[in-house]
Amino acid sequence: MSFLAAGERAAVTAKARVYRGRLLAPSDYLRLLELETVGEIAAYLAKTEAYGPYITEPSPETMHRGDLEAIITSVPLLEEIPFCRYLGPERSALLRAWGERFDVDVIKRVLRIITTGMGSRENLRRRVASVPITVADGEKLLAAGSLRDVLESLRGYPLYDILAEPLKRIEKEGGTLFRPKMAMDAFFLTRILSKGKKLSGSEGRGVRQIFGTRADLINMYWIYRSRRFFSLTPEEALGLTLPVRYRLNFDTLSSFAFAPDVPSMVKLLRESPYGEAFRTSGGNEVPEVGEMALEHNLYRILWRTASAIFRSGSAGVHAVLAYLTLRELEVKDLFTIIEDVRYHYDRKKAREFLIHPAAASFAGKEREVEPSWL
Amino acid sequence: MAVVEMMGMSLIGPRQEIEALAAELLTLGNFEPVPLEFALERRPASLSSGGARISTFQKNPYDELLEKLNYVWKEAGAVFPAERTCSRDTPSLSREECSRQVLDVAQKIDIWKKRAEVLEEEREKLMAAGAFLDALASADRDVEETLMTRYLSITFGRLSAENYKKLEEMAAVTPLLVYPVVAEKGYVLAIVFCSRDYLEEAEKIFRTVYLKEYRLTDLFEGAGTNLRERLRERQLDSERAIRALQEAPRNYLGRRRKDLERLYCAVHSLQRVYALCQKRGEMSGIFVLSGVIPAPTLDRVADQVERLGPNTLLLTEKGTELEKRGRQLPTLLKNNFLARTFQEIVALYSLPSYGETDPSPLVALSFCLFFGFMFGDVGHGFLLAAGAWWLARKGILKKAFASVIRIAGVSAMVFGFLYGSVFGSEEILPSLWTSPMHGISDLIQTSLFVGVAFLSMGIAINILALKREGRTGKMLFDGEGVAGLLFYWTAALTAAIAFTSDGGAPKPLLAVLGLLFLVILFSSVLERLLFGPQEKDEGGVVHTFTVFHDLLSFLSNTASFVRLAAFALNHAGLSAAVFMLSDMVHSLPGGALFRAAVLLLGNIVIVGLEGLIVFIQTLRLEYYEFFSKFYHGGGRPFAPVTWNGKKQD
Repeated sequence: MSFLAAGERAAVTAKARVYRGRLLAPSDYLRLLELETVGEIAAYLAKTEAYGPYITEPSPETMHRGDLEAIITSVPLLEEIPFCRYLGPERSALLRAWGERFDVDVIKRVLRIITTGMGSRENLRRRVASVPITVADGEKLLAAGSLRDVLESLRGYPLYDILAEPLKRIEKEGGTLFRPKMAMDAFFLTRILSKGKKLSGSEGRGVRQIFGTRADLINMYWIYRSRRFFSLTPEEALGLTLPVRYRLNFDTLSSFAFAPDVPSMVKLLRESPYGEAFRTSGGNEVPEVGEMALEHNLYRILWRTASAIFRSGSAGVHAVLAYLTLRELEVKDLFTIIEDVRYHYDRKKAREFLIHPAAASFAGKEREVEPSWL
Repeated sequence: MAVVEMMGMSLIGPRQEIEALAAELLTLGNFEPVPLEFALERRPASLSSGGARISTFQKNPYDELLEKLNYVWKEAGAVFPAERTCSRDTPSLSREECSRQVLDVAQKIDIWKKRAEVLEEEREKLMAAGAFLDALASADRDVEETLMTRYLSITFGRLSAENYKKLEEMAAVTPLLVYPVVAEKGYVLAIVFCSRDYLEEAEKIFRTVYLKEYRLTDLFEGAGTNLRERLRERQLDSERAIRALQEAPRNYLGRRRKDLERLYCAVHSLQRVYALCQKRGEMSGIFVLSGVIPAPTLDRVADQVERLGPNTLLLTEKGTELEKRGRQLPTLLKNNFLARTFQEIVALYSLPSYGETDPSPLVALSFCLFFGFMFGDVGHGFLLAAGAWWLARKGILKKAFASVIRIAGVSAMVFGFLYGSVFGSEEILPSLWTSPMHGISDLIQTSLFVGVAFLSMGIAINILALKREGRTGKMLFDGEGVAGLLFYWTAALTAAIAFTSDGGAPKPLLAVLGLLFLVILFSSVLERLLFGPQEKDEGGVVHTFTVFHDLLSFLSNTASFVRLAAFALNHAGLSAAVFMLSDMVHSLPGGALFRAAVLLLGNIVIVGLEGLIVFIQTLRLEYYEFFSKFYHGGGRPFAPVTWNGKKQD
């Protein structure tokens, strides 16, 4: 490690730690859940260190859900940019690759608008105006009226080769956007991990830990869903997995996919390194875990992985990625809270679905169902 | 001093007239459009009450047409025409005509492109078939025999290298046999064997790895003899056709370049006109165009309105009125050559806000004075000026910045004559004033006097600004108002007497200082008593600290000017050190050469490094000592729309 790299690593780690200190505290979550309107949530967030600088509306209490969500979604991305200034080309490329995932999200939304007519181009325009898109010709993408137009907007960018075949096939034969979306996820994770491979020592390990875990969780989740809900064949389920492996190798994934039936598969999943996500308070005898609970359990594993990076005390760009992961999960929690408040759901129940384990365990005393790993 | 007065202006009239006037405004380059709401508030009742019925153009329809024309040029592999090649007349074509012509051209290009894509796919397929045939030939197998197998299914296709790896993994747990044929450019052409019973499952796997399958039966149907040769011929035919289609846009552009350039100019003109009209309004065929113009150009605009828009109404509003309505007006500076050069230095700090005093002329004078004072040397000043001129000519240094350095170099030369210093030597020229090495006391006294004069000037400008704003109480009693200025002068006089005479500080002056201190300390109370309730009170504690800060800053700011003398001495000292070093190496073998090298390097270091340090110190005196007394900045540059886009003035 060169002297300059040591400076880079120390600087961004210090910054990431300071930023981490600004994340919402468990008590903030509880207060937010006590609020009655989206405007009140906006006003509350505007007073926090974490979101205050981004909510610049003079009267946030009049904000609508869409506007607030658009702002808080951009926050992790806006925070990623200043870190790049401290880093050399190798590490800032890694951070940019992380940011590209949000661009991929814009592409997914445009595809959704084209195929289903659902979603708002105006919201996407606002999002792209605040954080410009780098993996496609943004103007062309937002104006795209067909899958061919989307492909055209990607010409000259690496995603073109990834999406050309799946999109052309959908245009010819019809079908869902499932495969192109998976192809984009695979592209993102492969790219970030290949850039992470260039880093050595604790930094490289940290990057693999965060994104390898993410890839493992996605692979498990898709095999589970493919067999449990979509009745896909084992071959198809296995074929859907990302070409990225961390703690779950191909043989382990094959054993999940080729399990004789769903209960046997769930049993195998529970025995895996991430088995806790599939366990319920009823113990291993209960064959299934609720869909929403499973999703949140998986996110909690990600949360714990990112937090563990900070506990390790090592310095490097992986600390920034860990912070950004925590921030991203916090935004997901805020989406959950906004939805709960907007539709007046039962707040006690809502707490169960918060990703932040401390915020959830705050409420845990009152909870009836608690994942055993908490 | 030199912030140009601005005016709000609205044109209301029929579309054709507004379009013609917009084109004229683009030529004049003095109009910054503003959203309709900026101008609508408190307008004549007939217009403001109709506000709800006014629709605004959010999108420029010509952006898309320009984009399409750009696409035409891009596909032809040519450089898009420069905007300046177009004549600046009123747009000659209607929107419908422009749109029809552009779409017609773009459609032609699209058709050629799509046809080329189909042929490209065909060529790819033929290439794949060739590779398949070669693979069979090397395995000594016949095509018909291979394709007619009863129990075996053969799939041939292309997939990414990554997905090929995945397919290989899958082959380990499924009854598939996978063989690569050709691997290039991140893709693999692969043959996959499986039993016909398993084909349905296999196809699901192929979909998950995005295998692009080439139906071999289609390619080889009725193949007969000489199959490889005929495949090659078909491939060559496809390649020829693709080449012709790829060249078609370039040929088309070559044949019709003049027509297309005319079309481009028409679309570009309309695009610029609508850039002005964008976010403006329309009400029953009547267009509303609002913006800000420099007040001195109003007559020219009014003349054009009279000439081109007989049915167009011109409404104007003074800048001060707009400001009262809370509108932030842009800043346009107008200065002579010297002051204009130093606008960059002011803008580096912050542009003056509209209505604020432009410090550029004062900065021009003070910058030359401070820099010359600290870097006074005829030779070094000449090198600096010449270097800046050369770097600007080579395009390495920004023109405006180079001008600042050139003028600073000339100022250093002037002070060089005053000090009698050439390349650090004080023996060549006679000193016209004093020498830094021998007249330290003169330099320190002068620098302190300069400090007092400039700080007083800063406070005086602040007093004038407060008067303009009607804040009489603050102007009279504030630490940076009249009371502050009197306090500063009294303190300076007291200090001067105390240091130059034996009797110490005169008591009457101390009494005046005490009285002025009390006035400044209780300025808020005095303001309230004499002028009634004032702006929001900052609180007693904060006010007391502010007063102490202001008064102490008189001392620190003035002391800061001693650096003028210090750096003048530093310059002479560094030069002396270079001479001493050169004398030391002179006695070595080949000493003359060493001496020349030391003198050359030493002078380069002095001009480069010391020049940079003095430049920074000058900026510090300007920004921190001088600007802190009166300047706020925060202005937005006036950005009129021109034919070439927005101009940042």
